[in-house]
This record gives sequence, C-alpha cells and structure tokens, in this order.
Amino acid sequence: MAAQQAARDSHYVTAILVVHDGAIWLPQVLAALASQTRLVNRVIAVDTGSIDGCVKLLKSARISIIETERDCGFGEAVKLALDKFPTQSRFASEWIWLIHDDCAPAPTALSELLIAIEDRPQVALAGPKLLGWHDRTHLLEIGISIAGNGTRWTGLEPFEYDQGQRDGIHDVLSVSTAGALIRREVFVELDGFDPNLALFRDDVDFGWRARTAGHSVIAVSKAVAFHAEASASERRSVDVDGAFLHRPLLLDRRNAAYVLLANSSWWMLPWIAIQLLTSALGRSLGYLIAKLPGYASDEILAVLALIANPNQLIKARRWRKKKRLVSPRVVAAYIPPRWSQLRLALTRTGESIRERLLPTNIDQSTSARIATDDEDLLVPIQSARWRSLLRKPMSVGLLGLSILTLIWSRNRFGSISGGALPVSQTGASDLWESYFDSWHQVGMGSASAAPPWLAVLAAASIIFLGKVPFMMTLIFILFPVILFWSSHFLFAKLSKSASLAVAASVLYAISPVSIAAINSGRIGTLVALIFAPLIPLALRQWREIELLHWRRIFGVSLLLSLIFSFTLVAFLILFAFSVTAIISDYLKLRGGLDLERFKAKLFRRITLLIAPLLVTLPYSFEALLNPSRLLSEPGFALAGGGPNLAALGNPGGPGSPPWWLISPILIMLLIALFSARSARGVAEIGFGFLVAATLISTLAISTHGNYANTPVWTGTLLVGATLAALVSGVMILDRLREHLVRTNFHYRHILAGLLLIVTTLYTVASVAWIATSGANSPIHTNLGSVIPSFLAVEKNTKTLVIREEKSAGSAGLQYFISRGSDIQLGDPDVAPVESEVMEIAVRDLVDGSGILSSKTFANYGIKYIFIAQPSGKEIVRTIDGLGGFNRASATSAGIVWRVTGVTGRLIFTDAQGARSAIETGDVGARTMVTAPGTLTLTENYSRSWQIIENGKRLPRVKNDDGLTQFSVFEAGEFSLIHDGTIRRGWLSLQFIAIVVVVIFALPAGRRKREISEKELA
Amino acid sequence: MKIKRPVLFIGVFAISILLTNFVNVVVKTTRFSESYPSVLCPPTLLGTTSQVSVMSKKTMFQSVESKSTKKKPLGVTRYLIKKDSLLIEANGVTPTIWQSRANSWAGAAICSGPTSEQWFVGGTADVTSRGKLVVINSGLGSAIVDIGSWSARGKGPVKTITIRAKSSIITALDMFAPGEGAIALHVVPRSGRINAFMLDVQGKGLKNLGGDFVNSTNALGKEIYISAIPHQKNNTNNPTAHKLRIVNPNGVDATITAELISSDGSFIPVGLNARKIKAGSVSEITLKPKISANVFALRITSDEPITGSVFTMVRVQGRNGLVWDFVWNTPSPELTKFRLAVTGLSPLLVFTSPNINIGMEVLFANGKTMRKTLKGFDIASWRVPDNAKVISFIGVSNATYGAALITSSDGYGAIPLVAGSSLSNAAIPNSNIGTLTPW
Repeated sequence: MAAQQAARDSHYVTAILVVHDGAIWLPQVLAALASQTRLVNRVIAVDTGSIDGCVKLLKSARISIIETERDCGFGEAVKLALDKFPTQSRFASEWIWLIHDDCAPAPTALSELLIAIEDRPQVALAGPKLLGWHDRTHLLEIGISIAGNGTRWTGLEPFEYDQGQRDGIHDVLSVSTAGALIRREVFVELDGFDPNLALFRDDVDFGWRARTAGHSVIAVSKAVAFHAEASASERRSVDVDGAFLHRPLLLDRRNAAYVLLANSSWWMLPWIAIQLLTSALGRSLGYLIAKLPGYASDEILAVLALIANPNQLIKARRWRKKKRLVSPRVVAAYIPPRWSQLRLALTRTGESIRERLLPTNIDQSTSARIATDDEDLLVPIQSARWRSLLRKPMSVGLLGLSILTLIWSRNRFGSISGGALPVSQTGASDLWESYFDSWHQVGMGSASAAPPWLAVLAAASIIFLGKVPFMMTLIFILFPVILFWSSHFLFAKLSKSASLAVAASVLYAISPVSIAAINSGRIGTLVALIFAPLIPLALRQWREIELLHWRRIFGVSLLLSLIFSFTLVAFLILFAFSVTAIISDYLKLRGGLDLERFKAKLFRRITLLIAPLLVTLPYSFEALLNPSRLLSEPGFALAGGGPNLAALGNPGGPGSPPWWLISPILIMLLIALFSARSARGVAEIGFGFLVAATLISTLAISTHGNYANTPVWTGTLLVGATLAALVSGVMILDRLREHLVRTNFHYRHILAGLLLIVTTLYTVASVAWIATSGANSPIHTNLGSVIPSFLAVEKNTKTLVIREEKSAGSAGLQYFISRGSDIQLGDPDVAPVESEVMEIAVRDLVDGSGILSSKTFANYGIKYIFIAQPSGKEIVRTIDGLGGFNRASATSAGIVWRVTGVTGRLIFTDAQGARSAIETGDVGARTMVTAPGTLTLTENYSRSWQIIENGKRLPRVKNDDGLTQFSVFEAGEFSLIHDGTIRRGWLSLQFIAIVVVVIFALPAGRRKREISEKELA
Repeated sequence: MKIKRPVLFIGVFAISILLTNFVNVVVKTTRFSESYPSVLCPPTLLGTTSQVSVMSKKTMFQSVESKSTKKKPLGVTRYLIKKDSLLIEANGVTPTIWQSRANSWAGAAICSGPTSEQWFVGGTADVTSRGKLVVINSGLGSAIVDIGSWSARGKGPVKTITIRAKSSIITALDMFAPGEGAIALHVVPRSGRINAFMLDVQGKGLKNLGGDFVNSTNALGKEIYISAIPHQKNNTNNPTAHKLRIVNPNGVDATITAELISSDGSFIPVGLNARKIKAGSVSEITLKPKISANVFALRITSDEPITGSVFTMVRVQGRNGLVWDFVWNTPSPELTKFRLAVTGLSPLLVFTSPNINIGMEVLFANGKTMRKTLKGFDIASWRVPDNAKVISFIGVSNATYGAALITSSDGYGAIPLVAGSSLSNAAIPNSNIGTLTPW
C-alpha cells in the first residue's frame, strides 16, 4: 500500500473541469472532486459561456476558472486550460484528468486509475467505468469504440446491470473523455483533440490516434464515475462551433463519419462510405417510422455535411499521417465485428418487442412483506394438475370445439376448393405474381386490379413456407377455433363469468353465418368474423372519438384495411356508422358542442373511413366506380339465401344451415330491446344489421365472373347482427342469475328460460348438423378438374367450356373461356365482363341459329368448344348440325369440337386477307411478321397492350369485336407487351398509403430530451 | 319501461320482412333465347326460274356459296333467285319458293331450317327420271351426310357424302336406285348444317312429263295426313288416277288403311283397308276415286311408322295451250300457329280435321290486313286472295292438318302447311367463371 501511495504521489494530476450550463450536476461533481481519496494536484475549470450560474458555483468552490466563448468546443477548452498552466517537470509523469460538468467520479476513481497505469508505462489514456447518474447500477461504458457504420460502440447490452461482470482492466480503443486520465506529454504530442471535433466522438478519435501512435488505452473498472450524458441526451443545448442547428444527433453522426473517414486505411474508405450511407438511410427510415423526422434528417444531413466539405477530411488524414507510427490496422481488433452489431441489434429489437408484449410489472408483489428465501422453502411446490384444466370453462370450450372442428373438417384434409373458394395457387410467389400482374389471363383477359387479399394471403403464407394450399387447408380447419378465440377477447371483457364468455364464444363459432361461411369457402366473411369482435374493443369510445389518440385511429385503420381487403361490405357498414355519427356530432355542435371537438371528431371519423380505402387501392377505387363490387365477396359469386333466412341471421346459400336450424340471434335481440340501457343500445345496432341484411338480400348483382344476376350474400352484415346479439345476450345474462334468485317470479324468469331453451336447442341441433350433413359442404378436397388434361396440354389455348349447372336449385347452361388451367384464387375477382358479341355467339350456338358462331369464336382466339358431361343431347346435336365445328373427341368427361378456321392468341392478317396464327407466350411475346397487315390480339382491349417494331409503337385500335388490333406497316421482328406502368403506379400509391398508416399506427419514438432522466439512468 | 323505441325497432324490422317478401321476386338465373334459325331456300337449277316469297323487303339474306358471310336485305318481297341457294333470316315467316320451267312444270317448296333427318318419298330412278337431290351445307365447316334409299326392291346401300363448308352437292335421283320407278330417300346429316331438297322432273324422250318439288317429312308416323291432293277429270270426264306411294323402312310389314276425305264425304277406297306394305320397301297404290270434289285428303293409319306421298298428274292452261304437270303431295304435320309468305302465289289452303276451326290473318301487299275464320268438318278449303303477302295462322283447332295447292300457267305445286323454322326456345348460357371449377 505504501508503494502504491508513493507511486500515486509521483504523478502530477491536473483535473480539467469543462463546464457548460451544468449547474444541475456541478455541485455533485465538485463534491466528488473534493472527496477523492487521492486528491488532484490542481483543478482548473473552463466555463464555456454558461448562463445558468455555473461560474458562481465554481467561484464559491474556489476553483480557478477560465471563461471562454459559448461556442468553444471541448477540445479547445482543454487546450486553453493546458496553455494557461505550464508543465510540472519535477514529477515522474504529469496527467490531465478530464472531468465533465455532468460526471461525478467516485472517491477512489483517480486513485484506481493511477494504480492501473502505474506498471503500464505504455498507457497514454485510461478511463473509468461509467455508471448512470440516477441508476448507479446501470453500466454505461467501460471503454468505447466505433462501429463501421459510425455507431458508438460500448459492447454492452441495453440497460446492462452492473454486477461486476465486466470488471477488470481492459485494453480498449478509447475511453470517454468523462473521467479520462491522459498523459500530458502524449496529449501534447498528439496535438490534443481534433479541433474539427468540437463535441462528440473526440474521445474515440483521440484513442484511435493514440493507438496508431503506439500508445495503449485502458478502461479501469475499479475506477468508477457517474455520468449524466447531458449533451447526448439533450439535457442542454449544444452550442459548440460547427454544431449546425444546435442538433446533437447531427453533430454526433457527422463526427462519427469524420472519425471513421479520417482514421481508416485509405483502401477501406469506399466500403466505409457505403456503410455510412446505407446505415444513415436505414436509421433515417427507422426514425421516420418512429415519427422522428428531425432525427431522420440529422442522419442524412450529417453525411451530406461531410461530403460537402471534403477538404477538411483530406487535411485531417494528412495531419494524422504525420503522427502515425503504426498501421491503422492495429485498431482492427477494437472495431466490433458486424455480427456483434447484428446480434446487438437483434437483442435490442427482441427486447423491445418483449417489453411491449410483456411489460415488466414493477409492482408485481401484492404483499407488503418481501418473502425471504427461508419462507420460500416452507411454501409447498404447487404442481398444476392437468385435470384441473378440464374444470376451466375456456379449456372445455376449446377442447369441445376442437373435436367438433375435426369431425366437421373430415372432408377437408388436403388441398381444398369448392363453393366460393377457387383452387389455391401452389406457392406464395404465384400469389404475389397474381397480385402484381397488370394483366390476368382469365377468360378473354382482364386488366382489373387484383384484390388486396391476395397480397395478405401471400404474406401470411410465408409462415407456412409459401405452401398456399396447406395454409388454406389449415386455416379452414382452424377457423371455428380462431373464431372462438377472437370472440372470447370481447366476451371475456363483458362478463366476469368465464362460463358465459365461453358459451357466447362457442355460439359465435357455430353461428349460422360462421357455419355458412366456412362451408361455402367465403374467406371475406370469415375474416370479418375473426376481426369483428376486436372492433368494438378498439373503438369503445366511438361517441367520444376525439379522446382517441391518432395512433389508435391509425391502428384501427390498419385493422379495418385488413377487413376491407377481403370484403368492402365492411366499408358500407362503416360508412353508415360514420355518417350517422357525423350527423349526430353536427347536431351536438348546433346544441353547443365546442367547434374544436367537433373538428377533432370529424377528422378522426373521416380518417377511419378513408385511410383503409387508400390502403386497399386500387381495388377499392375500382369498387367505388363499380358499386356491385362493394357487395361482393372474394371468390366465385354464389347466391345468398334471400330475406327470410337473413332475418333469422342465416345468410343462406350453398353450405348454409337449413332453415329449421333457427339460431337464437333474433330472440336475443328482441329480449335485449326491452332490457337494460347498454344491452338495448347494442340490440338496436343488431336490429339495424338485420334490417340491412334483409333488405339487401333481395338485391341481385352480377359480378366476379358470374353475369347471371345472383342474390346478394349478406354474410358480413349478419356478422354484425350475430355479434350484437351475442354481446347483448352476454350483457343481459351477466349477473342475471343473482337478480332472478333475489326477485319474485315474473316475466324476466320466463324470458331467461326461453332464451336458455332456444340457445340450447340451437346448440345441440347445430352441432348434430355440423357433425353429420354439415360436413358434406361445397368446400372439400379432391374436387378434380373440369377441363380434361388433353385440353390443358396446348399452352394458353382458349377453350369455350359449356356446362349444365345443377346446383342451387336451378338448372341452366353456363359457359366461360378456359385457358387450360383451373381457376385459382383471385381469378374470379378480376374476371372480365363478357363481350356482347361473344354472348350472342354462344347463345346462337346453343339455340342452333349461330351460323357464324364458329367464325366469331375463331376471331376471339377460341380453338375448342368443350361441352362437359352430363349435358343434354340436344345441344350436342345442335352443335354437330350447326357447322363450323369439327368433333375432336367424345369422352366420359365431355365432347370437344375444334373450331374451324385459323385462330390463336395473335392472328396476323395480310393485305390479301389471309389469316395466320402467331405463337406467343403467356402475356408478352417476341416474334415476327413477314409482311404488312394487321395483328389482332385475341384478348380484351386494353390501352396497355403495345407492339413495338423497330423501336416504334404500332398504332393500336379497338376492333368491332372489342379486341386489340395493331397495324403492321413492314415485315420484321416485334415485341408484344402489356405495359404495367399504370398498375405499378397504383401499387406504389398503395405502398405509400400502407407505409404512412403503419408509421402513424406504430408507437412514436421519443426525442432524447423527452425521455425522463430516470429512464436514461 | 319505455317501450316506444323497442316497438319502433320491431316495427321497422317487421315492415322490412313484409316489404322484402312483397317485392322479392325469385331471381331466375336461367334465361331463354327465342329465335328462329335462318332458313334455306333451294338453288335455281339450270333452265328453271325460281322466286322466293318473303314478308319484308328488309328480310336479310346471304348467298350460301358466296365467300362472304355478310347478310344484306332482299329489297323485294318476291325475290328472283339467280342461282345459289339462299340463307334467309325469315324471323318466323316461312318463305315459299316457286320454281318453274316455262310451259313445262312448276313446283313449290318451303324454305326451311336444318333438321336432323328428312324423308323424301317421291321421284323416280328409271329412264324417265331427270330429278335431282340437292344437299346443301350452309355451315362454316364441312358436313357429312348419309343418304339411304328405298325402292320396291328393298333398301339400297347408304351413300355417304362429304360436303364442304358453304357448298352443295346435286345428285341425280337415278344414282340411288337405278332403274327403279318408285323410290324414297332418307337424308341424315351426321354433322354440319344440312338442308336437302328433291326436285322430281320426269320426261320421256323429248316429251316433258312435268316436275315438282317433293317436300320432305321430318319423321315417320303411324298416322299421316296428306292434304290438298288435286283431283281433276280427264278429257273423257273420268277422274284422273293418283298414285299413293308408301315407304315402310321397318323390319316388319306394315298394315295400312287409307281414308279418303273430301267434300263428298269420307271413305276408304277399295283395296286400301288393311293393306300390307312389305317391310323395307316402297309400294305404290293407284287411286281412282270417283268424287266430284276438286281436292281431297288422305288419312293413312299404320301399325308401323311409315310415310308416303301422293303423285297426281294435273293439267293447266298454259300460255301456249294445255300443260301437263304432276304434283307430289306429301304428309303434313299437325298444323301450328305460324306465318307463311305467299306474295304472288294465291294458294288454295286445304285443311283436314274432324272439326276444323282455323283463324287466319292475311296481310296484303298494301299493308292492310284481313281476318278469316274457316270452320268445317273433315275437310275445308279456302283460296287466299290475290295480293296477299303473308298468311298468319292465328287460331288452330286440334288435330288439324293442312296443305297449300298453288297453280300457275306453268303447272301445279303443293306445300305442306308447316313452319320452315320453328321458334327454338333454348336456355341461354350464362357467362360464369364457376363453370371452370368443379362443384
């Protein structure tokens, strides 16, 4: 100890305290300096124009003060101090101890630093372990470095708790200037801190330069200092010269880039520049997402500021070169590898997500007493018995529903289709392709916007490794359980009775609309069923919507966007609600409501209505122009059951429960109408849905490739009615038992009994139906294919398929143009309107008057007619006798005729009128013509079809048949393309809308000055 | 409890149910197309002239053997067919064709749509035969047609011909059963839009014996009516003879009974009661009824499906004196409501039924109309006034059969009263993408 004391005494230590508006921390810092076990030999304070009374404090502490300008940098301040006091030659070594005005060293800090350097003569710079100012267990730094992207690197985890795990003396690249002990002769030798680094990163730069000058830098954990990081955490303004706009982050990033570019080897510079630029862009994006545009601009401006002044860098590199004794590569060991940065980033992200999902509850203990270890030993270990699970209503409900689901789905284990659900694409890429394509090879071709639910499914299929059929199968098997789960969120919040919540959830999962939607493959209604229970939770303050934060509004908009992606009926519902609410708000405004509140309500309601429409562009836009789409569901257009079924809460149609399976929805709503105020309000909404469903179910629309007028399916509206009925039912029944027990027998007892009987009857009957005939639903596996394989061999060949429809109680002929493959997800949604010419040709073909039908078909590129079996002999005889068709085959699948005459996807007609078919690809083609003439593309007309020959676009017209026709003026090679610029434009707009809504929905980042000091530690 | 609001909601709900049930009409997804297939008129053979009577100048037509498929209006209501057969969009008004050779013969036929089979009972294949069978393919694809022949010697071999798109094949009748005096042909298209016409022209050396279209029947029957058989007296004031030709294509003999119906009364001529017709052959029976009526009808019943026709020699006062011609009367199907274009023809309509009650509307060339109701028993006839353009049969009694007898200075012709193209009521296919997916 004596030797150590002597050693310490052989050093002369000048503490340089740099002060800038640090009056908050300064008293503690001065006290810390005064209480050092090894006193500093000299203390000099440099005040850089403080305006908060720092000078007064320093004077009262009797410390020598050098006062300088407010824009004086840290390095310059240190230099001023050193210039004023000469070197002490009588000591073995002289050290300068840099103290920030927000950094309080522990009493032994200096002593421990001196001990550490005692037998390390090569050390030029030693720093203490920095702990948090408020949370003194928070390890801030123990040595620092800089990452390749300019990040200040401490190697510590976020909010790392100091329990001695990093203790020791570590060789590091650099240490913070807060509490750094620097050998004065080295400091002078290296010309001190770089004057271009007035604040921030001057420490890393100095450490780097010390290293390349052959010195060592150590961090000593026994020496401890507590640092408030006031400038970095924006606790005070940054006024140093060069701090553009007084923005700390901008200065920090600029200086980080400067340090890297000034000190790295020249051959590393391009790579570092790229890293700096990309990471700046990445961080900018992150800050934008966190709604911190100021920080985002700082990132970009920092890089730009450096690029704008390259001379500064060139000079800095020359200056460093003079002082360098060893290769810059000596610091490579201290630069963190990229995987470390990645690991840290992942850890931080994971921690952030975990914190959001499972927030740390500080007050977890409900007992005032803190249990001791001894007490823990006395508490018997509680092992949860699995049998106890069966006593929980939730478990019983889930188990029962799962068993029922498995029985229900017995015909759906495999690739499913049927009902409204087409065959699934094989992979996610096919779904993406369908979504992004500007041209769809469906029927005579379509340029309609693909529905956004394709993108949603494609994104979801990533979880299933892109196996779309597997995903669809699994989803349809799990739908009842998912519905149970999602509705339980709502019902559990409405009732304290777990049994009641579970019963309501089961009823929701096996409600008529759920059964019908699952059985007929209506994913739109199913998505509405899943997310509908979350909307009342998210918009509980619908009437006082102005109380909701914008973040919540955009979050709900995202949820609504998801529903809108699948069914735009939800838009109609929201529109009705919004208009009603706005009118009500307006009446309140006239009644004295504050205008600002009215505006706040209005803007929020409009945002909720408009934002999801923008997110689902361009599909939503097309639907607004073609309102029948607003009432349609994804997939094939199947008929609903009409008004009487709708009034009972049953949407009807293929796969729906029979009429006699009457659900308790109506009776629940009726009873709730006469009940307590809250339940009555919900019942009124439910009745609104029922009335709307009843009225709309009388409409018949033609859409989604079905041009017969089809009664509207009102599933989505009945989701609202079902949910409202169950919510009101739960509200009534919650605590009703106690009330009934307390009161005498009256009508409430009768109503409760009636409700119970009807509900039980429905539950038993529906379960029985689901388990028996309900499983034989339109949607199931192994449905096969309509088109015989031999017709699919010729790629992209059009075949007119005529088939007798015997479903849904009606019989009639139907037709469509096949391209050889099955109809897949999204195809019905973009199916084109059949041209009148085509319709007449098919009609004439069937009624026998179509002498020219074969010519029309040839003009439309139809090569084959296929009549699927079973079909009437009359039509076969008619086609046989009509002429223009040659029988190609007659099998058990059906009869095929080949259309006489030249036909194909692209038909060339020369000046003499001779026609020849030209081979093309799926959409575009690169081929040639041998003479002038006309090229007829046998696809529906679209302005985006282009033929480019010799760099020129050929003139395009829409011919009498509604096909795209080009005039060819010379022989030669040409390219046929469908220009997707418009589609890309719309998608870009949609992407921007999604990004904006997501950004506003995400939690906002806080500026550092907004974070409490406690959180910053 | 305030019940005003709940009652209001229940009321609105109830009204909506009532309203929707009241206004809700069953949405029919099946639509039907009612259309008349285009009818085909036979070509004008060498040395003859033919005119087709249509309802309107705006009636669209196209020449079958022309490359163009464009249609154009006829421009007149009686169109002179130059050569090719015509495809006419008659829209339910059956055009009538009148073909003649000046001072030699005349014949009438209706232009008809394609049918699945045609029976021609008439014509000869012996030395007198100059008749032709014209088979026309008006479709855009080639057609295959089987032609079966019967004669007194039995069934001949089936001849299969292939006809290119929009073309016709004319075959001499003596090619089917050479040397046979009485033949019957059965034309069955296998594919293609086929119409066949038989023109029987007979001559002996340079002597013309007359000519006529042998109208076809579309099916065999166990009860057939042949109406409007002209009955003239020869120079000696004796009634002229008729030849009843019956074809029994079945594998067993048929027993037929023919009842003659005339204004003189109905009777079964001698030898025509339960007469056997040999299986798979054509039989000819001569009729010499002693009746005063100018026209009569035959009702033939059989225990096997048969068909037949009546050959009658007639004479008319031509421009250069008497002209001998013959007429083939063929069976008529039961009369239905339809419209017949008769511009320039002024036919004699003959109806046969136990209880005749026919309502007709005559449209004249000047646009005026006239209504006529014809009532009677067994047989009734009425001559259409001159200048008539279209006769519409607007009321038709049950089990009534009719034919029209047309005369001109060139000869006689007869047509069965049957619609050339019947209204086809086919379900219109709906365009539905669901067609391509299994259900």
